[in-house]
This record gives sequence, C-alpha cells and structure tokens, in this order.
Amino acid sequence: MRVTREDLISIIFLLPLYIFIIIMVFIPIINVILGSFGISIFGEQVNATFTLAGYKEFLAPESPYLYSLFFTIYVSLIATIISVLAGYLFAVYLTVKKPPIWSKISTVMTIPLFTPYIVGAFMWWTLLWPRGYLSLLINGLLMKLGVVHEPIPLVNDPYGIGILFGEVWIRFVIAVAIFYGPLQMINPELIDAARSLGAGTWTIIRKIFIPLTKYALIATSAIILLATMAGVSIPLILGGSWPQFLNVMIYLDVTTRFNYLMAYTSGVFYIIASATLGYLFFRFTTRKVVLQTR
Amino acid sequence: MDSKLVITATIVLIVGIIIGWGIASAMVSGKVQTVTTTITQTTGGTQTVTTTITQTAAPGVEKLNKKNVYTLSWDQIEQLAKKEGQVVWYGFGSTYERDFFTQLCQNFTAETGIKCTYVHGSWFDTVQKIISEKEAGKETGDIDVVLAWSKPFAMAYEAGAVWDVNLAEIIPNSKGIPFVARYFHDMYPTNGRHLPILAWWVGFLYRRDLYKYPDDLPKSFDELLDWVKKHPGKFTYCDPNKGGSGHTFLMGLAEWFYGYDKFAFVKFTEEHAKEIFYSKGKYGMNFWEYLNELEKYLYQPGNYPQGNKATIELFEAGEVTLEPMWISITMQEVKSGRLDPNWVGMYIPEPTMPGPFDGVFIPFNAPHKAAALVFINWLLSNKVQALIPQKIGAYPAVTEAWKNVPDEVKKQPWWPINPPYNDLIKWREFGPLWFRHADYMFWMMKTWTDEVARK
Repeated sequence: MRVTREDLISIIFLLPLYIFIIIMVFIPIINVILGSFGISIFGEQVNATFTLAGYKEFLAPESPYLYSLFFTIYVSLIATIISVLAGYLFAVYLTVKKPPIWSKISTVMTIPLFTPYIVGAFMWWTLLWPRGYLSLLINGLLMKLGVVHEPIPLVNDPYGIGILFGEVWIRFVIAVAIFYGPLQMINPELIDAARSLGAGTWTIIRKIFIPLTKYALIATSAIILLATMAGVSIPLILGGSWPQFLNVMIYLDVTTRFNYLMAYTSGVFYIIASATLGYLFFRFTTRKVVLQTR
Repeated sequence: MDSKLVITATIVLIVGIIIGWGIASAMVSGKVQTVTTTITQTTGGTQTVTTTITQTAAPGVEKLNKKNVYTLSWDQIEQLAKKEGQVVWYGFGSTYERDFFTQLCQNFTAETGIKCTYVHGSWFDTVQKIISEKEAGKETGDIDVVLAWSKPFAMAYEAGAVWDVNLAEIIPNSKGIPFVARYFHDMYPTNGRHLPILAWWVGFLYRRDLYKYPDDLPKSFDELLDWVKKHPGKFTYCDPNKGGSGHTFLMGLAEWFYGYDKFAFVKFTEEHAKEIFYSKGKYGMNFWEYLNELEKYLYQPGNYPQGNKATIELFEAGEVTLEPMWISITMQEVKSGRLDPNWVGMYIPEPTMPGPFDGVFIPFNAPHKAAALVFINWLLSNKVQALIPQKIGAYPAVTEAWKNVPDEVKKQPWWPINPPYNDLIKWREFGPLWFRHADYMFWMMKTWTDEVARK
C-alpha cells in the first residue's frame, strides 16, 4: 500500500490526538489489566509477580465481589427502568398537555443536573435516615396501612432502596431532558389524525410516540444504566454495609484495605461489564438511530 | 645565660602556649559532638534489632541528613531550623481538627519566627504523594511533617518514603510519650520514625439522663450481650469499614473475647488470624457467631450506620441510647449544639478499650528537616499538648501534659467517668493500656463484611 502525501499530512495532524488517546485511555486500561495480574506499569502498590489470586478471589462461588457486581447491575437496572419510564411518561405529558406552568418550573426541574452527586446523596440521606421527614412519612403511612409493623430502613439498607432514591432523582431529570427533544420532533398532525380517528392517549403513546422514539428510549436507557453503574458517591453514602456496589468495594479496597490487587481485578470486571452492556445497547441501536434520523 | 635570651624564650613560650591553646580549643570544639547511627534490622514479623554506633563527627553542618542529625546539639538544630525559616505540615480530620491545627501553626510562627503552613487534606492522598515522589526519585519535596495513623505510616515506611531517623532519640519532648507508643503504632514497629502527638480514644457513649453508671449499663464486655438482649434496638455500632469507632470497638471486643495476649505484638499471618477468629471464645461461640448473636438485638438488625457521624446522629435523635463512639466526636457534636450535653455520659467498659496514638513523621524528601524537628518538639511541649483535650477532645501523647489541662475541661461529660480512665496519669502509669493490632484489625474488618454484614 502506498502512503500518499495527503495520508502523511493526515497522520501528522492526527498524531497528537492518537497520542492523547493512548496516554489517557489505553495506558490506564492496560495498567488496570496488568495490575489485576499483580503487575503494574506505575508504582509498586502491587507486588510485581504474576498472580491469578485476584481472579480466583473474585470468581470464587461465595465471593463478595461477584455478588457486588450482580448487585450493582441489579440496582442499576431497576434505577434505569424507573427513571426511563417516569422520565418518558413525564416528557410525553409535557408534549401532549403542554402545561403553561412548565416554562416557569422547568429551571427548577434541572437542579439535579447541576447538583454534585455527593450533595444529592447527603440530601437524600437526611430525608431518608430514621428521623428524616420522608422516612417518617413513608413509614408512618406503611404502618398506618398495616403493611409493616415497625419502621423499615430506607437508607443504608440491604435492598438498595436508598441508592434507588438517590439515583432516580438524578437520572429522571436526565431522561426527561433527553426524551423531550425527540418527542417534540414528532409531527403533531399525526396525533391530531389519531385523535380524530378516536384513539385515546394511551393508544397514541403506544402506536405513535413509542415507535417513533424507540431508539431514543434504548439509547437513553443505555446512557442511564452505564452512568448509574459508574457512580460511587450515591452508593457510598446511601448504600449499606452489605451488599455494596462494586465501585464502593473498589473504593474501600484502595483507601481502607489497601488491597490494590482486588481493586484492579474488580476494575477489570467493571470494564468488562460496562463495555458488554454498552456494546449490546449501542451495537443494535446506533445504526438504526442513524437510519431513523435520515 | 643572657637574661635577654631567657626573657625572649619565655615570651615565645607563652605566646606559643597561647596559640597552641587556641588551636587545640578550636579543634576540640569541633569534635565535641558524636555521630550516633542507628541500624534497625527486621527479623521476620514484628521483631526488630536496633544497633547504635557512636563515632566522632565533623562540624559545619549546612543541611540535615540522616547521619549528621545525630551529631548536632538541640541548640544547633534550632539554629538550623531558623535558617530554614519555614515548615509545611499536612494533616487530616474534622473541621475542629483543621481549625485547631491551623491555629497551632499560627502560634508556632508567632513564637519561633519560623513560618508554619498547615495543609488540611486526606492522609491517603498525602501518603500516596510521598510514595510517588519516592518512586520518581524526587529528592526535594514540599511536605515537612505528615500527620498519619498506623497503616498509612506503614505504607510510607515500607516504601522508603519516611526520613529514616529515630525522632524519639533526637526530639527532647518525645521522652514524655509512653514508651510503647513511642516505638509502636497500632503494634506496628515505628522504630521512632513516627512520633505520636495525640491519642484519640473510643468509649461507650450512653444516655446519662436515662441510665446511671454502673448500675444500668454493661460495665464490662462480659455484660454487653445480656444488656443488649434486655434493651433491644438501643445499641448499635458503626460499620467498621466506614468509621474508626466501629473497628476500634470490634478490636477491643476481640481482645477481650480471646485475650489480649493473643494479639499483643504478635506476627500477623492470615492463617493465624483465621485460627484465632474462628476458634471458640466466650459463650462457646467464635467471634462471628457472637457478633451475629449481638446483631439480633441491635438497632435495625443488619443495618449498620455508615460512618461515625451517622452513628452519633442516631444517638442524638434518641434512636439508640448506648454506642461506642470517639470521645473527640462526642465533644465536637456537643460544642456544635447538635448533641444535648445532659444526655452525654461516657465510660470505658472492662477490661478496656484499645486506642491509637496518632502522630507525625517526616518524609524522606522534606525540604526543611530541622524546622520539622523543632516543630514536632514544639507540638510535644506541655503547653501545646494541654490544648489537645480542650480543643479537639483527644488525649495528649505526653502524659504529664494532662496536669496542665484545666479542671473545667476535665469535668466535661465526654471524658470517661470510671477509674482509672478519669485520671489519665494513673491510667497511663498503671494501665490497662491496650493497643490495636493494625494487621489483625484490617483482616477483621474485611472478614466482618462476609461474616456479619452479609449473613
């Protein structure tokens, strides 16, 4: 293959970008992978001897790490489903009803987008801890209805309830912000036509909105799922002693237990899980989204 | 004999003697100091052998290093410190500690003329920075003194990032620190490279308005399980991985459960840890069985407060009435108005509670080592040590300083009321003074997640 002058110029111009990607993306990932085998390019935190001990510990049947990975995916999936559903329905409501008050309160709605996650997490902690207003309200209601006989923990709990509150609060707004645009692009005449033919709101949502925005739905779900999985502040503050998000395990391994081998190994599994989920979503959606937008 | 010759010879002799005297004096004054080189060898585990070699030294030291530092008198070190002119101290802790340490730095500057800068951060980041500098071969850093607890110090020491000088031999005020604390931190041998400046301690915080000590409370760990069974939901402890009050309490519990001698300064191996913690202790149970039994009667069983702050907030809200808590945090919560002082009672259960003597070390590449030595000596002075209980609710590292603590401070409800803990001097002199074993504690914290939180 002959390298033309134009090719050479392109390479020279793009070289800084390639170097940047190598330094900022590939080398850290390679370092994490090597670290999981007990080898490290930088530093001496991990003994420089090849070992599979990290993987053995991670994959052991009773491993807390494996369980944490499943818990992370499980809670992230639930948070994604709730955020996407609620966000989508709210965006549809705004599209269909066009409430006049929206223009006034839309700025308030975006507060979670600009609030640091750690602030949001502490805010939810104060609301959900045993003496928090929301906790007293929810538990009071549940006890009055006879659903529970004593207050249930809504934060630092083993079911991830606290994490769900924190995550959905942030992700819901992101979902609304993303869905609102594609829904506005739907021709209103289609809705008028459906209405004139006697279709109800639910039918319009099922037959018009969802088919025309299904790729936005999938892409948003992917973005929210991956973002939820990657978060650490919310599960660290609102999560319990067990089970824990894998991110929290990594954080504790590094800062409290000084177990870099397991931190690197968990990191590898995290990358694999995120990359797989990301691939599954984007592989089957990106092309179709492009086609749809054409 | 010619008298002139005699007089001349006498004068020459006298002048010669004077000149010779002067030269000899100058030579002798250059050799009055000695070099004391301390070589520490680790023979497996925690056992160390320290050899001290003393030899003559050369005068004219411009910059301290790990050999010439032993040759200088304290006055000479002070002169060098003044020449260096500044010291940079990295610490950590709550806002109370931050304000106190900042104030200390200002006081030091005012008293000595050596500019002190306090940087409040995280011990983890600070130690990582020093280790990275060691690995990168950066011979002159920007930190002179680091406040650290046992594990970060051990990380830095093992990485060769600590100035390898026996501070306990050089710093005059260090003599007031209890001997074991001077050379070990959480049973990790520091060889004097780390000197404690304070001792944070955990006690049992109880509702003084509800219970009377000792009648209504478990005065020993032996009585804890029974008390908790009789008062379900009224006791809790912090997740040991999220707060020191949790892991210090559990370590104290383990030392009571199996006996202090099982942990005291022994070598750590994972096999030995398993052997201890899975063997039968009190009540025919192993440690984890005991904790799981205890858990059934805790506040919201299976739910552990995530941090010291979350733990004391449960107490402040009246949800729990007894919990292990740092004395310092209790004081700070009362002072900030979040905790009613009439609720606060503190005692240390029998046999005792172990505690950490946290302190400072000098990084290998500290740019102002003499100033660092002078600053640490100043921190260990009685005057400064006596401020520690008053300002942050910790004990002084120098025992005698307790005498300088005002009575109104000692009378505050966050200090343990039971003897010998109500008199620090007696407590330190006659015990029981137990310590935590850092390695066993870390192993226990990790295993706790599996054996207690997960069950």
